Amino acid sequence: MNIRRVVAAALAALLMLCVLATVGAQQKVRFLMKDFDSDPNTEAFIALIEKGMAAAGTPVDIEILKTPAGNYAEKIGLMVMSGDIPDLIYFQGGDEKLAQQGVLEDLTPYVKKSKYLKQLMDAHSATRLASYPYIVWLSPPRIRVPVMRKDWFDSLASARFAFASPSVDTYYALLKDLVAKKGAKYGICITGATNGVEELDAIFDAAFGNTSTWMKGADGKWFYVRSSANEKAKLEFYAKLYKEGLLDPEYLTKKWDTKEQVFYEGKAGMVAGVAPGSIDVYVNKMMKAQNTDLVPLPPAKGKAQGLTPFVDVTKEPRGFAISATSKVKDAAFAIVDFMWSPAGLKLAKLGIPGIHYNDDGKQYVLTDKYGEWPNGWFGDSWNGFKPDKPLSRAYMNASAQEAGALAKKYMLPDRTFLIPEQFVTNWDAMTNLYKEYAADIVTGKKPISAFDEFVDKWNKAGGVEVTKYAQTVLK
Amino acid sequence: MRAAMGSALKERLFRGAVMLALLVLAAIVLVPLLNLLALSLSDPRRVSELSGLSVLPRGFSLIVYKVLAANQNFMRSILNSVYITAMGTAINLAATAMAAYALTRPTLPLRRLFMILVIVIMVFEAGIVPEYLVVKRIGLMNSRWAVILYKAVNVYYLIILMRFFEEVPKDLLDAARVDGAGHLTVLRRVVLPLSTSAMATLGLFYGVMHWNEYFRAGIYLNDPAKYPLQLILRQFVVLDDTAALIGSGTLYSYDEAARLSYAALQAGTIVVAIIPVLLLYPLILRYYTHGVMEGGLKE
Amino acid sequence: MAGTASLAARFRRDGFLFVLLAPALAYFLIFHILPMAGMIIAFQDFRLVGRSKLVGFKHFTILFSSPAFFSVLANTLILSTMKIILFFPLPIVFAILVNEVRVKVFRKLVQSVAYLPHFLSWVVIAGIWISFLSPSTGGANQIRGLFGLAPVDYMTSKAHIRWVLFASETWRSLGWDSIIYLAALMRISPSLYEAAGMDGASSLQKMRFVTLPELFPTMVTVFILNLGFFMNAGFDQVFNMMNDSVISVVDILDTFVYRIGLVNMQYSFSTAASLFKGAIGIVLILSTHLMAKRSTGKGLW
Repeated sequence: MNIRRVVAAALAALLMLCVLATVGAQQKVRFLMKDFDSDPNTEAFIALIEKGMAAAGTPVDIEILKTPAGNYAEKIGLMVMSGDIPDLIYFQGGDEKLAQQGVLEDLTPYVKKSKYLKQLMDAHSATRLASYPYIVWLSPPRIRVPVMRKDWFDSLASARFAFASPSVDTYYALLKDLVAKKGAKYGICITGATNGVEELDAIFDAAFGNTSTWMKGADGKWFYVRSSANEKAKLEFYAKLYKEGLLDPEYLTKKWDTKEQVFYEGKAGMVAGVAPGSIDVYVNKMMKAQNTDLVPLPPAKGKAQGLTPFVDVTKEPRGFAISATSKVKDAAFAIVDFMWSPAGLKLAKLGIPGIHYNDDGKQYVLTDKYGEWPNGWFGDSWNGFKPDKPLSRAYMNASAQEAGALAKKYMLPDRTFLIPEQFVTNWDAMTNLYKEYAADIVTGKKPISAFDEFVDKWNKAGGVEVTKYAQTVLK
Repeated sequence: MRAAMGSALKERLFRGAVMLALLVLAAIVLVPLLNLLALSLSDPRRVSELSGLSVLPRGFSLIVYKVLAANQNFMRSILNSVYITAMGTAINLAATAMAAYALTRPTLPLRRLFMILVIVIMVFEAGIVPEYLVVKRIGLMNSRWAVILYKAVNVYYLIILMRFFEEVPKDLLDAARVDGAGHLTVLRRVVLPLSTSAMATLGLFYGVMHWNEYFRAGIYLNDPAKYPLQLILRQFVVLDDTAALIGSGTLYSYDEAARLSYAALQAGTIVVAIIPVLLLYPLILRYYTHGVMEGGLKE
Repeated sequence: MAGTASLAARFRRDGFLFVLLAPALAYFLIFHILPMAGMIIAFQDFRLVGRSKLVGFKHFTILFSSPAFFSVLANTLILSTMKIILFFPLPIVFAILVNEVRVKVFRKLVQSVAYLPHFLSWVVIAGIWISFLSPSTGGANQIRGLFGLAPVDYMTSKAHIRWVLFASETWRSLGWDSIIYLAALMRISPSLYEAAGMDGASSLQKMRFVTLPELFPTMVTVFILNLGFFMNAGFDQVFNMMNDSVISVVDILDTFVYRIGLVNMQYSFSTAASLFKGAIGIVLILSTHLMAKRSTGKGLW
């Protein structure tokens, strides 16, 4: 009898042990991330993350789901549709429909409990999470900052003047000088083919009074900024720039690579780019092309002052989501949180020891392969990155960091709303109307008086209804 | 005598004019392509010297190709592409020829129905989503066979081949049947030998289709070791404004490569894609010989 | 014939044809017919999770009543007409001319080179053409300059852009599309030409009375098949060559659906548009096939 009881107890204990073992055993998280497969260091990187997480007391087994570049958006949709939903997913758009249908987990409680992530969130990131809690991401807002070559900046009085007191007039004078005194073919070049006049807006939109997509007028009613009197004055100015050769006459067909090309060749004196990331790229390329740094400039001050695009705080345009049906949600979030811990940040920002940097005891020496390392994989933000040893050189060009600081200083939070389904096709037509009229007015094909014609057509194409709707949905 | 001379001269002028016109056309086509080749072979520091119409490289450097080949899966992807193209084209030609033959036999029951079916299929694309679900259902996810089979028969080409098969003279077919040949024999011994130019053409079309495949490959393949060449190359021409996040990383792999112009890289990917076709096309041209029909009739 | 042979005899004789047809048929069933069942989402409010509700013609109504629909449809029809109908004779002429060349080396050279632009993606071709047409540095305007003409910004001109699309499409496809005709030309028996020559026909006359009639079946086939794609008009090309100035004249059905799809209605809406395009394509193919058959005796089958 006794033997039996002892054996039973032993078996029970063994069983308990097994159960505990599996519970304490590593949880497997299926992680879908863009471009993980094209970087040869992925395996090593993931191994280091797993090691770091085990050391931190939250061991995870990460399984990378590979997807090739260029098909990412379709691939996510297809995987989800076929029931093959990963646990941790990086989205670059396309998440709204999934969130609406309850496929994505509400991340608010996870962020609240987080050890590191919470403290490092910027204001705009927190606001976005609050209004759309399905995507979390830490990165500076995507804002464009104008830059010009340092060698030209140093030798032009108008440049320093525009820097000190930026206004529509001082910028105008600077652009004129770039052409007259520096031999540029035109003052500024913008990526017209994909962005229309948006890159000019980075400098001038606020100066003409536009500070968000929808603004409240003196009469207390919300109006759409692109069909307003502000816009008309702004376009008139742009048309003047175009006419006098200060704006690239072929801006409408410029794509990002051709725009950059004319800048490095000295044909354009100024461009605008997203700070700090793109500016960093421009600096590196300009150094190699013309051996000069870049100087970021503040936006023009007029009725208001600020950089664009207006920062949408309704949701993160990209970031991490966790599947609502995942069985390892905590483990999945633990990965994200870990990457913002000091140990995780070191991994994310410095790369693989031995390849991208070397620890010589006194500092971290960034190797020349460091440029290859995509340090923004888990978020572009550098918040919280305080390595225990100094770096042999700055991880980003000083001027790019300045541009980033300017972006944070002059950002304009947006007031806008998602166009409801019944207006989607109208809005598309209205947007195209704006694009076409703006293009024709700026390039001089139509006179500025055509703007009133545009407003009229815009209203008829649905502007009246959408504006009415806006009054109900904006506060 | 004078009349004969006059018309001979007209002939000469005519031929001259034709050759001139074709020369101009060839130049119009060739110049931008040579420009791309030059772009990819130029010394990166001198790339900006090339205008849109220059055909000679400035300086010489293989750096573009070195960067493209630096991808760890580059060699394997070439093998994958060869595999997909070879298997795919073989299957394509077999299935298309057999179907074209069957559909051109007036005695095929339900022939009209099949033709309508085929046209409907050609014109209605169900879209990638349902196709994906089907591929998943039959268990071909992450298999190169999904990429090979998703277009096993291209209806457009099928109908073209049918047109060629219909040109085979009835006497030859009847003669073979009288000799007791079954359909397969007729196809193999009579119809196919008389359609070599058509089969060579389809071989070219299908082959090119497989060689340039990247979209479906990206959707169905998860394992980078299985990626075909075009998919690997596309990583360099991803166009969204992610220079901040990823593009800058890959473009600064090597000190020299840091100067690489995006245009040169793009040009390199195109050259790599075109070369095999360029080499194989003259072989295909050999099948385009006059008088194939002549031999058949004499039989 | 059908009456005299018994069913068993017919099957014995022609049953094998089904075996030959089987692989293609299996492929069509699995990869085309089966997925077509998925097109039902055009009639649903598609939901990824949970049941999709049948909404009848809702998405079609949205499509047809979009403010942009008529202009987009008009652009699609105009561009397609240019590309399919105006372009149509060009590869034929090219193939015939190439075939006329007696100098073997030259002919092989031209043939081997002409089809190459087909391999370039529209991203690249757009870049090439935009650069070529640049008012400041492009070759086209430099040539105009030689004749003392002022430069024209073709890419942003509403009056010219459709012709730019036509020209670039021609540049890309002329060589490749002529391959079919070259293959067809190879099958023309030389004895036909000899006979014509003995009757005193010149080269041009040989072209008219031997080559063209022999090519006719192929021409009809290609023409009718292309009509099936009439509603496509070339998304890649338009997408890459479009700019703000010319939206109203080159925005086609596919670019419109692509934009709308990006916002809200994706799958259902774009599937509805696909069905619409396909329906038009079928109607065009069948009607031209019947017309061709009636007037010339040769159609698609």
